[in-house]
Amino acid sequence: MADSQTPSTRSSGAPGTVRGMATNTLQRPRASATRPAPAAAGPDSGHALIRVLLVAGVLAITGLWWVGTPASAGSTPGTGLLAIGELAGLQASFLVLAQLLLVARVPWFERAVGFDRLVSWHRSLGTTVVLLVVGHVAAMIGGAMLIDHSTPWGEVGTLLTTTPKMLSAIIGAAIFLVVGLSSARLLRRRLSYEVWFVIHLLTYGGIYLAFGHQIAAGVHFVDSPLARAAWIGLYAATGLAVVWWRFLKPLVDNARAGLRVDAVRAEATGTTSVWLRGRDLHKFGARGGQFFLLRFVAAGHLVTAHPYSMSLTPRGDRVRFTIGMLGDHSRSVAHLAPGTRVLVEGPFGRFTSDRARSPRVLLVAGGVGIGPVRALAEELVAAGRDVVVLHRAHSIDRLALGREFPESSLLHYVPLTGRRAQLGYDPLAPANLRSLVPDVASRDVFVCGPPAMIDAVARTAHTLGVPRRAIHHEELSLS
Amino acid sequence: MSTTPWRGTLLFAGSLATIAVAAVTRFAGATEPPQAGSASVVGTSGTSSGTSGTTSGTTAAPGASATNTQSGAAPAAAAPVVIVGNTVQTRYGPVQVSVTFTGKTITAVQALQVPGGHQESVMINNYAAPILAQEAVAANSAKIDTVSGATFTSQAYKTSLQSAIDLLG
Repeated sequence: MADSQTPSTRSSGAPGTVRGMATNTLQRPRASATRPAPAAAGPDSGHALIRVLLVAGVLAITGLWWVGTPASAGSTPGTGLLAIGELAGLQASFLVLAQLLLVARVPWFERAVGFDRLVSWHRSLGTTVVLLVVGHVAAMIGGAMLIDHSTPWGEVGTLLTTTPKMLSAIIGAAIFLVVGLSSARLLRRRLSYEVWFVIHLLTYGGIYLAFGHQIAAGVHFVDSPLARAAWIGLYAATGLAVVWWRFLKPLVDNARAGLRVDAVRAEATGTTSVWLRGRDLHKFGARGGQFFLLRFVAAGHLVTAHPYSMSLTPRGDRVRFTIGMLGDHSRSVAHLAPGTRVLVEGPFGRFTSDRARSPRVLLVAGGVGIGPVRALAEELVAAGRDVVVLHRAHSIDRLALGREFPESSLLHYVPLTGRRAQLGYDPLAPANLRSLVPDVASRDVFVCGPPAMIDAVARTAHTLGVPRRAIHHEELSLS
Repeated sequence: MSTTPWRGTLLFAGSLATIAVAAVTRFAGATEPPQAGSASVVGTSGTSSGTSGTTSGTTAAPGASATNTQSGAAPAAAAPVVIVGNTVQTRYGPVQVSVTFTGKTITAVQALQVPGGHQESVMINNYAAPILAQEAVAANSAKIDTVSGATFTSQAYKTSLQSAIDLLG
């Protein structure tokens, strides 16, 4: 499912074919087993806890500001504005640390929330942080202007000469602004992943540059050793988490596994599988449905890591990733030479069999989304679950891995091919889905494919009576 | 399951609301400080009253809010008199000087308080305070140059110095 979210799946093209619509025999008895109640600590308790921690942190920071700000600061517009600017700055710094932690690959966060939602939260917080930083700078300059009765440019000069570490702080703020703008929807679409990523790396520099003026000039830290120690501790802890989980842990993992490309196989039109060989692969603890960030040590690949899902979990010393030929990068994967070193980070993702509470499961794959569904189906069948796989593709020649779903009492594979425009209907529309899988309401539903398809299937399943907590999907995007 | 549009903006609105609530409740009850003429200083953080214990709040006349610790029973013509100036708040802490007068002449200035919460301030002010003292003695008034790099301290220093001069009368 990697990279599958970016390209459009709705281009006109070769004539499509419908298959499996009439031939399948999925008329099974209505589920007698009722859906088990969710466990006490449901999958959403992690979300709630992180939200609570975020709010508590912001309130604690506000408390620190409260203690260090005299009521008389509000007596003149200038000093009031300065105090408000300080609070905006404090909140921005705290939220930046929260952002770093969310994407630091901390195992607890990955299990509780999942990579895709963490990235999504990271993105939302980013908007907040950039706006707070802009507000902080504006309020500090504006407040000082009111006090000094000077011009904005004159005030910037004054601040630079009288406040320690101010130059680096201004550069840091500029970096935040640039990173924020490059991530804004409008600009992000025009930037390549690589350019965006390098710009994003600047954030570490921005945080470092901005930290100096907080400790040296922040009125709440200058006079309070306790607050200063807590603040430095917060930064140090975040820094350690990032260094360990984002840099050292992957280094250790890769040194142990020593992964190399073993073989590259064309699976179907637009789909290629890459086999990797390495040592002690079971130590990754990877599960069906999960993905790794892969970085091929080859020209044109080394700069960035890409998220790719396993289509076969590690067995022996080999693991398989199935990749859709969708972007520049994924297309060039087909030309990788065996023996190429691969650096991996992971596994990530909560698109795993332990999320399914019902003994019956429906897996819906769109295009190359079949990769993780393949690995997931194997695990579910091995666990004795009743599994139906719906495989949606534009044409028969695009049905990758179709032969790897042998019909059995527990596994039913239904290919659904053809473009909607040519079929004249949507094979995944509620009426069709109900006739294909009459007992869908009693099943857990896993969807993997292009975002539009995920949204449509999730809506349809909900319409057909599947509770939201039984609908599982995940989207891979690092930006 | 793409990122909820506008969630970041909504979070920002939430942050702003938190800030607004905190500011309004914190500043509630803060009234215009009884600012004594010369004690209103460019570059202070506006906390010249209410927080400083050394500043008297019962002002009788403009400029007379300083704690006056005159040594000696009466200002004799030749005997040196030490007058402590106003405490003036800057963004980085209070500034207060004591001025030694011999007659009407400033013979020495001692910085009682300079911002010193952290290394940078200490360095700046250890460097600035002696320069300011020399300037004050040379000028025999508070009309002295600002030490670059210590603008706020310099301005507060001048104000405290002026308040001491005013107290001498």
